[in-house]
Amino acid sequence: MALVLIVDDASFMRMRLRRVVTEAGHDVIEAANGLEAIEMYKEHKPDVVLMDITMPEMDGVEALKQIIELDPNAKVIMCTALGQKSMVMESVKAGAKDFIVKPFQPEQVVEAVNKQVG
Amino acid sequence: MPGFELTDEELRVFLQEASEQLEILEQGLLRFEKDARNPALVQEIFRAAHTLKGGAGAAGFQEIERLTHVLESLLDEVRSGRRAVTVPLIDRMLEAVDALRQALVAIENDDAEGSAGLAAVRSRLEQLLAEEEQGCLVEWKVRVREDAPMPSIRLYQAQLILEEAGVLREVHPTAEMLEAEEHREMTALVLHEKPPEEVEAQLAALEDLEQVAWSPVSGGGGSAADQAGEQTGFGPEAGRIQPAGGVNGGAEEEQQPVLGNAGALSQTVRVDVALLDRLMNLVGELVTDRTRLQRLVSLDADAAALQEELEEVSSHLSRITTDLQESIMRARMIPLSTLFRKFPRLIRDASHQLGKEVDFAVSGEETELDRSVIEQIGDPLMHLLRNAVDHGLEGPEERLRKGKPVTGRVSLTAYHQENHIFIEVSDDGRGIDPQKVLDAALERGFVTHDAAQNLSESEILELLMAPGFSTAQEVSALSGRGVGLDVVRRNIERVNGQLSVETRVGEGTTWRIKLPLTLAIVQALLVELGGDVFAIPISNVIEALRRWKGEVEAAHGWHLIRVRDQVMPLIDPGDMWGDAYRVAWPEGKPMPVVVLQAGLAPMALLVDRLLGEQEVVIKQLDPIVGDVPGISGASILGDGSVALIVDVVGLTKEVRRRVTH
Repeated sequence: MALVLIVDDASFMRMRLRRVVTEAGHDVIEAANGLEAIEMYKEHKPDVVLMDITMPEMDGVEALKQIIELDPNAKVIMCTALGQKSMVMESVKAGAKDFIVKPFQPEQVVEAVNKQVG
Repeated sequence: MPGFELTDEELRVFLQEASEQLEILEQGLLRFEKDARNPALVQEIFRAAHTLKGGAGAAGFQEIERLTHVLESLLDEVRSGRRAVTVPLIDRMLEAVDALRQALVAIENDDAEGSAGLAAVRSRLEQLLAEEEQGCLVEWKVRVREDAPMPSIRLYQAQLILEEAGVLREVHPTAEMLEAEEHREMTALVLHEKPPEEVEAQLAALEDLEQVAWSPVSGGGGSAADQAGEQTGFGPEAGRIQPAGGVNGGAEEEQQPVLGNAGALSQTVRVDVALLDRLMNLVGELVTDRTRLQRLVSLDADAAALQEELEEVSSHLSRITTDLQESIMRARMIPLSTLFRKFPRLIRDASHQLGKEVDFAVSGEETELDRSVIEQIGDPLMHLLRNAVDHGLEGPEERLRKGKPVTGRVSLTAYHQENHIFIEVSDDGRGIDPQKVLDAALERGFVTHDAAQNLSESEILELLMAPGFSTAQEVSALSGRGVGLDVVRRNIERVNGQLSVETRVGEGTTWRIKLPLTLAIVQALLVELGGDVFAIPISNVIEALRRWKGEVEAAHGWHLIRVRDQVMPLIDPGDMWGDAYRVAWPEGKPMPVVVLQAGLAPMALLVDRLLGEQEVVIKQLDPIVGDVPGISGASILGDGSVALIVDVVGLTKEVRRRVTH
């Protein structure tokens, strides 16, 4: 069982992801933007982060970079939509471990998370 | 041979410097295996080879110069990324280091034969240099599934993994192309440092990949399967580098660890000038005594006066000689690092030979001991370490099966506790099963069935150290026939030490050597208490700070202070050693407090004054003084005054005992 930080500005997306991830047996904490994500990361040291890219306050790519700076071994999975390729590329360069492309199937999310945990 | 004669002094400096460079070279090569990507490290090793070459050239030792030249060329290729760092490459370079070291010894002993081995080693290195591709050149093909989104990024992830695996020679499409447009296929040419199988597993873990394939390119192909087992799984190359002829004869010798005799230390010690001055002073005092004695002969005095004078001289003499003895002993102290630094190489060679991965950790090497003790414990330690790798650690498959990390852990730790120096050799291997030891002992008639009934577990383990006893399932070339533990114990007992063992089946074994502290030196924090000086071993001190009286809290019979987030008991020395040592604590002034680490929880000791840090020689207290809790001995300071040495472990034990009673 792992602690997963879900970062997304849409509460609907957070709700859906939370259900999928908790059903897979993990604990979940949430953040609604990049700034919150960094605070949550510092405080809780989650095992895995599911990070949306487009968000207010601070976007996912910037948040990823700052989290990697805090913890070079952070396991961050970028959640992206088609058409955001350059940002995903940038994220992978900056140290994102994986990415999933919306709309995603529940199994996909679970598999990506479990891979980072295992 | 030298074009001009070297003076003895020049030769001495050359030899000294050359062996220092060899030391750097060897240590660097050993670290290299784990840290090949560290440019500073490559540079350091390269520089050592370069300096050595220059010196040998100037001194006229041509064979040494030639060999180091080849070394330098190889290292230069590594530095510029043209050559991969492989196990065989490091093996050959270490071999060169050994040969060079022998050559230096030969030069020192004026032995012309000594450098004969250099040419053979050089030709092996040249062979390496001539082979264009070192490491294993592998072609990779990676394809992303048809329906996967953003295939270029998957390929980019694959590229990052390949870059980690060695030198990425060619890749198509490149990162820029991947960034610009979508691709589903990638080919890459990689000069491998990591085994391709390992990299394949990493790639296979990526999402959306349909195909991951690799094949060796050029030279070394084909025989991968039959070579792979032997050498850390790094198949084709490991076999290829070994030339078919010539070297085989040497294979047997190479089985022998380079470390012929771990205890062999250099025959010189460096002595602090201040210490020499002190010795000189003491000798001066002796001369004065001699004059006084000579004067007695011609002195016209009565028996009583003569006796008084004699008594005075003899008591002075005894003080001076005691001092002299102590100072000489002090001069003989050397840090354990002189011995310990040879062990990483031993562990490396042993683990490679056995196909085991070992993580070796050393600590406490700054602890000083008398050189004779260090000489005596070298061989026993070497034996225990080799045993740990050979018999202690399981093979990689067995470890995997047991759910342990594949890389085994062996550690060598030295520390000072109460009145002794402890040196521990631990492994996280299979442990020793007392029942098996007992069965073997019964079988071989070491104990009778009746006696066996009453043996405790530790008594059973003691049997391991009985002469001629061994439970090693298979006799391995490395550790011999389990001869040894009895010899190890005898050697340790020769310097008044004790050998003991602690083990847990499945979890590992710790061999502990306990050495007397009569000769030991510790770095200590000196503090003043009730007008006396107390020395606290620095290894037990976490920090020193100041506290106001008002900051002390009381609970459950303890006085407590808060250091950052931690609450810890505060000890008033008056409670321990009597009112003479009670610290007067004025309201308006913060007093120094030393935070001590002993066992799990820290404690704080209130003191009158902090005096500073100093090395002190520990002397046992005379039994007449009795056993004082919290004091482990005394030391005579430079100004002749006495400092009491605080036994932190004993002190904290005593405090806990008093509070709980």
